[in-house]
Amino acid sequence: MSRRLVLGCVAAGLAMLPVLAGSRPVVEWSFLVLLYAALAQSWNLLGGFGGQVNLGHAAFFGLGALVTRRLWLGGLPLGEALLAGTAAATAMGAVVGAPSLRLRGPYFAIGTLAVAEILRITVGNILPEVSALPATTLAAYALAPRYYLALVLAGAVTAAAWWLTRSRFGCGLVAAREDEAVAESIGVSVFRHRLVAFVLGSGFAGIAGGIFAYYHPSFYPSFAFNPLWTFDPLVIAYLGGAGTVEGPWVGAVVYLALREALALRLGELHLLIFGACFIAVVVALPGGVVQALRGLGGRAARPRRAAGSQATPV
Amino acid sequence: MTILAQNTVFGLLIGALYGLAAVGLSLVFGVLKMLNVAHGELIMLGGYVTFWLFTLWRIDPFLSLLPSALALFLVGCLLYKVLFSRLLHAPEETKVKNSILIGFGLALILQTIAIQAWTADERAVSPGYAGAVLAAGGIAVPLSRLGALAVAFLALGGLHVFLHRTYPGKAIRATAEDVEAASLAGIPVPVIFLAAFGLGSALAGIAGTLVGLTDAVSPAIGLGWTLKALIVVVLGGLGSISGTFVAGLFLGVAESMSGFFLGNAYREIVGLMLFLLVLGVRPQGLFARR
Amino acid sequence: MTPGASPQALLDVRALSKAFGGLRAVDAVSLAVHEGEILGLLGPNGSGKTTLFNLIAGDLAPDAGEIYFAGRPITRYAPSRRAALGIVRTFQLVRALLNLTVLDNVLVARLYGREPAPSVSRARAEARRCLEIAGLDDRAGRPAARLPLADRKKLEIARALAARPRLLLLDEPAAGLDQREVDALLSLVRGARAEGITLMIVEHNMRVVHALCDRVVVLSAGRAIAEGTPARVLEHAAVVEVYLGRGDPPVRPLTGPR
Repeated sequence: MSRRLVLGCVAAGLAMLPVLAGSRPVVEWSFLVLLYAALAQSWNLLGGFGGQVNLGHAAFFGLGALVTRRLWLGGLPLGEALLAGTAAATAMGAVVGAPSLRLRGPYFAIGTLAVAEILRITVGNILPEVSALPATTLAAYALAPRYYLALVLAGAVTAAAWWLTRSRFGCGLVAAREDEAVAESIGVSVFRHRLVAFVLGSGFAGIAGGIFAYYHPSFYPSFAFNPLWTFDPLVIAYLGGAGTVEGPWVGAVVYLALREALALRLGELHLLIFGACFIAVVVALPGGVVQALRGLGGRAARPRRAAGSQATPV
Repeated sequence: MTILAQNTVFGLLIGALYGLAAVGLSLVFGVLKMLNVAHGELIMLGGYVTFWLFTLWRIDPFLSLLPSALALFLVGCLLYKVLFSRLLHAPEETKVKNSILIGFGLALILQTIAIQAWTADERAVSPGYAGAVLAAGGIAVPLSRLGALAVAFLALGGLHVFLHRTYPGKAIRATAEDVEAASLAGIPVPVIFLAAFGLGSALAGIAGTLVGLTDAVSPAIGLGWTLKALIVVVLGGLGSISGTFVAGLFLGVAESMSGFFLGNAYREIVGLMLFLLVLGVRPQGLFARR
Repeated sequence: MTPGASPQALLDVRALSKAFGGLRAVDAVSLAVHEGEILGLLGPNGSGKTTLFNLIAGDLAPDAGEIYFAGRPITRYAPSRRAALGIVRTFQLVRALLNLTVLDNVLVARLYGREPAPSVSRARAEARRCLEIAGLDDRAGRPAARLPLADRKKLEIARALAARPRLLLLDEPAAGLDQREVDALLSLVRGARAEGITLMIVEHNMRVVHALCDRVVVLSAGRAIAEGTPARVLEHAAVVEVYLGRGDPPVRPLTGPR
């Protein structure tokens, strides 16, 4: 049960971090790790466990951010604004997923990419002004509540991923990833499983966007729809290991640490390195860092889904 | 009435480019069953070829069609050799999925390289006839766009003749139809794959040149063009080259009309609606024969 | 053969047709399968047997015709919905969830299908029993990708049985198996029947057909051309012709099951 102990310590550490960490940059960086881990994990629900590539995660993140920000700054309590943002992202997930997940082939990837890009362009057209927090809000701005929201979200999405590793639904979803025809032949409705995982992931991405909207002092509304909000979680999930519970956490830490180090030295050029790493992982190391480490530990033979389940660090 | 006609004409002009952008993508998908979502970035590169040839040596954009196509053909062959050919033996679902992932990473890389090499600025070529307009019956048609339309028609006509009348073209179609049968018939399938990817990229180069001529080029335009190409490919029927061009014109006119009726800010939404509608009602494509 | 229903038929296929381009793979085929029987589907390669399986299992949609299962029209049901009602198939070219363990392959089937297990832990225990019956219990922890062909065929059947079918469709279960493995297959299938499972089998191995089938239907060029007990049908002139055309002896001497 040493695993539980480690998890407990990590969870306690994360919970105490804003109190213990003296410097604001540390808390800020940890906030980003949590946000990215949550976003990557929400992509991972369908992308990793279900094997369907969503190229428009930014759409759901962006919708959550847009709706939450406008309602919150419009005077609604934060909780309700977040709820509305989540609902918008979830609904959009259903609208895009229902027709495109029914079909074989690349329709789902195309559909998600289309919705993200078109929303980005349209939002940029309609809302060209930067959205800044009013002075009164800025004066009362504290990082800790943002941090804890992100922590709760990251914990919740991870709990959902963990549930996938040990539930009937998760088994069906993974079976559909491995072989659609076999899954259908034993009674798994491939379409329904994928749709549920996708809508769930979209909703979580919407909350992540809402927290971003609550966190960021000023940004262009279309920025939350930037394709990087798809690319980053994808790279993180693949770096850490798509289809594993701990992958997005490992990936988020590695990714943000690398980005910090590389962006300082290389500027924009660091994107090139991430792009190349991503392709290398997809081509050569489909299990990501998590599986590579497991392989070193001599446990490579264990299949992904059955290999160790990790509890939520909340 | 004139305004409607004017909008239709503009829609057709831009739609021809959508169609051309999509045909290369469709060709690659039809033959290799791989979806290169970095196709728009190849178009962007083609645009830069034209921009630099014009800026450095005053080479007319229409003359740069050939070097642009050639350059992108080589780039395509290289990308295929280094990256996409690794997926050849994967099962079909994995092949589609991993080609999408590779293309996504590739798009980021090409965009970053373009920013580093040529800055993020928007660039445009302005030959002497850039502002010239052909007016007839109250409808104005920019000359360069008309030229682009003609080139798009010629390129697609040429592609059609190539695919249907020449031996290599027939070999490509046979491979798209059935790889195993083609292989048994003595068609050198690996060469055909390489050629198809190169040809698809060369078409992106031509499209890029026309984009450079009629519009602005910047490192960020890739994704937008990929998106248009993808929507057109789905509207036209995945892998159906003949349906693709018609679908491009259709999307162009639909966008232009909706821009007119709903306001320009909302014109992109129409493509998304069409896309979702077609998936729900007629997933084989609006203009596919099957 | 009268098209249409006898009231007891578990599966009732009426005038089912499917064409690929100009090729009529299945051409107005009608047949009924009764509760508890084992029906063999014979015919040369390309005669439409696997297409008919795909239509019954729901992997293909027919161009015309209807399918009834236990009196219920299921022509437009997805395969998963048919599996939940009790129609489960195996694949001619064996398929498995390759990256999952042998146990997990069967576990998923126990969690879905007809009468799914109430909990994951119950399903796991029952899946282990399925593996024991199929003789795969010592390989439970291996990834399915690392099984040899004979074991994969066993896994294919174990997975199908774990979904608790009422009608089990076996597509060439004996292909590629040696004598001893065929014997194991025969006892596995007999065990399934003893539990009340109705079976439909596509098989070229005449020994298996004779040993198992109560009744056979012969397909040729997409049409059902003969029906009856194995011994009778294989003497039928048209059938002999179909098989002679393929160069196979029409009837092989019947050898005992064990």
